[in-house]
Amino acid sequence: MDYSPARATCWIHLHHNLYADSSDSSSSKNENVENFKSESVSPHDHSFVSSLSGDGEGEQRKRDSEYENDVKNKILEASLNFVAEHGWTKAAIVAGAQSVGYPGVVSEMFPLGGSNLVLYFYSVCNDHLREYLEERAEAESQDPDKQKSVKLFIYDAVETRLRMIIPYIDKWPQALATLTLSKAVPTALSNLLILVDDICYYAGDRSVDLDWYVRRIALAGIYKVTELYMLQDKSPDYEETWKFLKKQLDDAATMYSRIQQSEQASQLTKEISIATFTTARNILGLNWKR
Amino acid sequence: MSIFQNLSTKCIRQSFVTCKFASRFSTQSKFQDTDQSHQTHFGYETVDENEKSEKVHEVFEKVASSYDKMNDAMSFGVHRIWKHLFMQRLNPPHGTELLDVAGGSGDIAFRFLEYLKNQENPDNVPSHVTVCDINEAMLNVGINRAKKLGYTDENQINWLLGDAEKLPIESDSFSAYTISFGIRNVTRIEKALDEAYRVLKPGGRFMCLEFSQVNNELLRQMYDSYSFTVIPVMGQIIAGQWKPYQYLVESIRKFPDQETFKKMIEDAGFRSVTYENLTFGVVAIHSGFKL
Repeated sequence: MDYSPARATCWIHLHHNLYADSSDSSSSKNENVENFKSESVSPHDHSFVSSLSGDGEGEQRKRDSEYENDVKNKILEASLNFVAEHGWTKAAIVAGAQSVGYPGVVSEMFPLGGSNLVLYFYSVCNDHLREYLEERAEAESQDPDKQKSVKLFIYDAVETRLRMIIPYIDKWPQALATLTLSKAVPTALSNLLILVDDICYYAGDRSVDLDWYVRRIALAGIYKVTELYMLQDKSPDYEETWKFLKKQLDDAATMYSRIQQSEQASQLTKEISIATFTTARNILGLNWKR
Repeated sequence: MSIFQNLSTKCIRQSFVTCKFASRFSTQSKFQDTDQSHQTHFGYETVDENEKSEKVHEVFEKVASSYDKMNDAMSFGVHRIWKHLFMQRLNPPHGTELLDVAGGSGDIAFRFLEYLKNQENPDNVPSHVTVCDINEAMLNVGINRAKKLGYTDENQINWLLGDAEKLPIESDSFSAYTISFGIRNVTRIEKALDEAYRVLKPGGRFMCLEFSQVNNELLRQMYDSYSFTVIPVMGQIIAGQWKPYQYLVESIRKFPDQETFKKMIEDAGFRSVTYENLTFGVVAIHSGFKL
């Protein structure tokens, strides 16, 4: 695994192009993601983006909201440089806005303050991971020699994603705390679901059966648990964390195969997973389409 | 009983006077026939645009001395809460350069300075507020209050006589623009909004606190009967003035509702425009950014 923290940071800086690309894309996957993203920045834009029509006024409004989002992203992007100093707070956004030539009062454009910054970072990281997984999946499909097991693919994806947090690890507990603010929860949850869904999707899960839910819920759990483990991990290069992650995935696989052997347990697990997933989806008010 | 009878006769007599007087001062032509583009409202009267400003000027000259007392009486002190919330929403960081338009009484300016005083300021970043009002009598109210409160530092606060439609201020010079219970009295609201946009720096914020429309039918009836029957009477008793308070309640009804005003702010070029109703929409806080 050659994924270094330095590379993680540089990925984060790549995201501008990524935004531009994904908004132009017409694939259903990216459209879905685009909607979530605008929600994470400004809740008002969501209905806005989806109600766009092809007429001149609609085009104008689309351009306006894109421009607005660009400015918002520019400010949040700049604010990430001040997280080490101020934490995930409004003060970081004020400093970030000032560093790109805006007065501090503009920070009030982000009604959730520090949470908006965390959510932004989260979705940017998700974008980078998606790009990375896309490339990998494509490379593997072209060259069968490179193909890894699904488990290894997932392991690699989770590790890659977690490494993106390393530059901010000192302030990450605060970030997790701000995500529990009630207003940030829906977007935080959707970010997590997008993350696990991306991983499953590129790992080759195109299932339409009930296992779809089981896998995503299980992976979301593993991701969160490993993230927490990582916070207290002092081992060099977070060795312990990766060991922990591997063990979690192994356990899940064992558990999964055992559950499948018992029809009753299998049914129950599926039902619980569906219930969990549906609840999460309803909190978000999403139409989940793929 | 007799005082009310007395007052109501007086009211009728006065409303005749108001008609005559107000027929010269009506406000927004926008909501009327475009042929009457030089006409505007002054309360419920239709008057020439240039007359409105005179009229409004006269009103505020009359009420200046009892401004605070009347605000407290009419709103049961709630106007203080509205203004406090308004400052909370502005949530200014240190370094903010605020222009408070139509803020002669200093209500917003003092709250702004007070708010910043209560925030940590390790780097001693200076902030500043300029209070702009078209009415000298109102400015004097504020200047006197500033002396009493000890806000005399020119680097912190200064006072400016100026028209919201034609601010004597360079473009791109302030990071925040507030107008609290003022924009209703401006003859051409669009012009005032254009000016707000002009004087703000990119990234600057426009914020407006103003009476708005109560949407709940029942509450609106109660609110209306309170406004039309009680407020002018109070004005007569407390401030010795009927007409200005009659004008006040009428002008509130003539002011565009939340959505219309939001659209007007957007038309001036502001982005991320939002509003928040306070006290069921009796007042609303509108906010927008120049990006």
